[in-house]
Amino acid sequence: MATVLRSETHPGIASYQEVNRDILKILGRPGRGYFLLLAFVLAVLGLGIFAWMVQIVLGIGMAGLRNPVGWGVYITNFVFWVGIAHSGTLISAILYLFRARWRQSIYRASEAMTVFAVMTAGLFPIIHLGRPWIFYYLLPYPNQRQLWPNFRSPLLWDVFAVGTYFTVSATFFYVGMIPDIAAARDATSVRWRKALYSVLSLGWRGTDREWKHFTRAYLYLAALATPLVLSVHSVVSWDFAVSIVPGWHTTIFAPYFVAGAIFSGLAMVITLLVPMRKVFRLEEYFTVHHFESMAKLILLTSFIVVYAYVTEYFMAWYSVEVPERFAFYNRAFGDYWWATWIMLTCNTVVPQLLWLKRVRTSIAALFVISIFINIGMWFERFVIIVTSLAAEYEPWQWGNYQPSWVEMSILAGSFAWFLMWFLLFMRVLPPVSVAELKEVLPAPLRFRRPAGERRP
Amino acid sequence: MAHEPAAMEVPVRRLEEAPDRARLLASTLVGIGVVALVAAFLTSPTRAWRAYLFNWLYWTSLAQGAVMVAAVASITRGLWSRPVRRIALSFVAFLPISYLALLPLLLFGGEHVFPWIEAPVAGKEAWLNLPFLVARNLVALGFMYFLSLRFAYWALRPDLGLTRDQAPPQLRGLYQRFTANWRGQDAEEARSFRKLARLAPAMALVYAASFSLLAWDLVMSLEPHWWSTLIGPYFFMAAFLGGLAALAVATILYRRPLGLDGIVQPSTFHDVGKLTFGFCAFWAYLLWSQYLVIWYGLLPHEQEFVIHRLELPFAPVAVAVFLCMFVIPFFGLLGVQPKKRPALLGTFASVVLVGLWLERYVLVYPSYTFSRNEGLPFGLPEVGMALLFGGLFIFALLFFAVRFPMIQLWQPPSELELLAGAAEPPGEVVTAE
Repeated sequence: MATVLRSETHPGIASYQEVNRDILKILGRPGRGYFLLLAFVLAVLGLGIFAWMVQIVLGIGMAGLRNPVGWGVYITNFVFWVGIAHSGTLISAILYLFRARWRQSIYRASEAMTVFAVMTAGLFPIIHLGRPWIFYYLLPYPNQRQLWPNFRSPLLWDVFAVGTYFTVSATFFYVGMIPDIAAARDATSVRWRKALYSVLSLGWRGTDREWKHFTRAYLYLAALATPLVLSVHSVVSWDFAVSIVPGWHTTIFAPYFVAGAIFSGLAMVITLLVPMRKVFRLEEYFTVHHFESMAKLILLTSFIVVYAYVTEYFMAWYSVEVPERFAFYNRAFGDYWWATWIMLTCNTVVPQLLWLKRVRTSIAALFVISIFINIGMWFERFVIIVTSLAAEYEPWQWGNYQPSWVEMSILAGSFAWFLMWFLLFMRVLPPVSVAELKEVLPAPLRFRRPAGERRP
Repeated sequence: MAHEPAAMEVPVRRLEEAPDRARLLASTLVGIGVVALVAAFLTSPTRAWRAYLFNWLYWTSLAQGAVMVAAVASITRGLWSRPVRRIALSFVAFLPISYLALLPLLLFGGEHVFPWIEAPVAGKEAWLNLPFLVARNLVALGFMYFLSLRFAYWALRPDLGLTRDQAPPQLRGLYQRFTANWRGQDAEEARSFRKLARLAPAMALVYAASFSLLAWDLVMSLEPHWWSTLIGPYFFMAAFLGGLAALAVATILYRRPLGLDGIVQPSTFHDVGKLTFGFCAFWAYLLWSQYLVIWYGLLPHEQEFVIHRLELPFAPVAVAVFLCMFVIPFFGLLGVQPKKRPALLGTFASVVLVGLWLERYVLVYPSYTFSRNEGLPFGLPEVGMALLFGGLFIFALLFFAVRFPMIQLWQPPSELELLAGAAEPPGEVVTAE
């Protein structure tokens, strides 16, 4: 009687060999569909680049930004993409420290998503500048111009927060991948791949010593990355909260933004993983259990966001301040009422479906819900930024904002830029952790033992 | 190795009777507390009610916070928590006392603690009026406590079924009542598991709502012109931290009388320590998030709250709070050893508990007008009230510990599955075809 050993979390995967085969197969030569998709993505990216060039040549007026709304779609995109970047580190670092065992097959893709989302977000403060070629004025370094940035400005805190986050998450992403790159190196025969993996794997051979240092480094990086998950989006929230604009100046912003970021980031992970699972037949790797666990976290963070919405409205009413009350009335019933109601529907009503186990375990339903959440969270930032700026304290200053085709093209281009990196990543670097998956699989044995028999 | 989940065999751990020392301590505390209470009310009822208010907030926070630790452990299915889950749950015994103690405060102390009764704020009458405040707080807190007690009931029921036959005669009747309509051990465990899986998330939601309400009404409204959207989360997350610290201290104190050596392992202390450490950092994060926005905004109606707390006579207490709730436990619990060693963990958790007590004081007192020359209003009423509540708190814990098993005996089926995955090294036989 042949006995097959199975892992509890991944019963569909039989052996170490199968992991190598399934994951490293993704790194093989892509088919036509892949190149077509890549070409489409590059075309949209081209449109975005063209729009930016138009804006550089003809001036920032090509965007719809006018007084009083100086922050429109660009800063919305910035906050949106920084938010997307959150779940990667949550899954890889915080869940690692909490010993949540369901992270091992999805964390690589979400870390990659984090890194690419930060790379996308980082573009927008620069795109937003009238003279983007002097963006380096933001960096504090001793210089001949005797210019120092304003250290009291939260925009400068952003430079530090986002810069640190990018550095640490990119390092964490890369360090965690080293053993897998070595596996890819040993498996490939394509010359450029061999060369690339040989350099990137830093001569990894998998000795005990190497593993010892590796696990230590991984733990410390996880511990370092954890506070960053909180700090980055808190600092982004203070871009708004430290000013006294009604609708922005509120103390709950930091934790509320962090929760919203994790909420949207997890939704984006689902949006990306579902097609990936289908195309590369990774059903045994991204199991329903993974998606259900993410759905539960989405439900939790959705409640934190709901709490913040309710509290904001309550406090605006409780404050008896006319501008405060008006800001929130204006959100729900003013010129941008449609944006607010999209946000409220997508972020508070739709996630309630996740109470049902049937929904949580249905991949198709989760995919649809995740897209709603992506839309809702983009609109959340739009609502916060635009409705507050459009109607501040003085009614004679009020003015509405209409995004131009340049801004919308750059928005589309940002998605293309993000997807381009993700598409390249999937085919070049192992998108699922080979080494960590093996940790939960049955070890290869010379003799298969029937269940119930003791090890000799 | 067969698919035999490594279920932990747990002996029944229950106090045969309350230790004399604990009873003596609690009686003494209550005795001194009552004397102090009477003295305080005779000299200055206003100050007495304020001391009563902040102490009520503190002891209520500890009790409900610890119960929430048990609820969260149930939601996240944290296997590590099994040896200490019941100890966290045992704080539920204080909740009825807390509810009863709230009644006189709201019914008779209102005029002494709520400044907006004497000087109503224009436009806020709809929210800041006593009948509505009393009604909404009693309803919200009543619902919270009802859920907590239901949770405790369903968590205890399978254990009482297991130990019903060996129970000492004086507990028989109690156990019979708790296990009425018994359906058999396996069915009951499955049923309890289902009930807890529903109750725990509901508790988390109601906790956030009801404790936010407490923060708005019993803290924020004391400075009627001030508001902060973060005060609710700040208040209930601090209470959760208090619950964790109280759990650490209680576990260490129970070690000898309950004979927990070998059941509560250093790794359990390590986990409790990690959470205490993490939530201290999180508390500081929330404090900072609120402070920074207010400091930067420079709005008078917001700043008064912070200024009242950072000026004399309260500044030293505010600094002590920050030291006790963040600086000392953060650096103290940074390493592995302090988390694992009960003596050190207990010390730092106690520092947090003292810090939280001072913090609830600083949340309440500076809202009233005090002049710098008077000195810090801190003395017999404040300490005496703490002794009274502390004594009642110990009585409540003893009440629970002499009646119910203090280590959870039954284990939910899904936990057994998880345990099977966690306890065996990966790669062992799990299923066979």
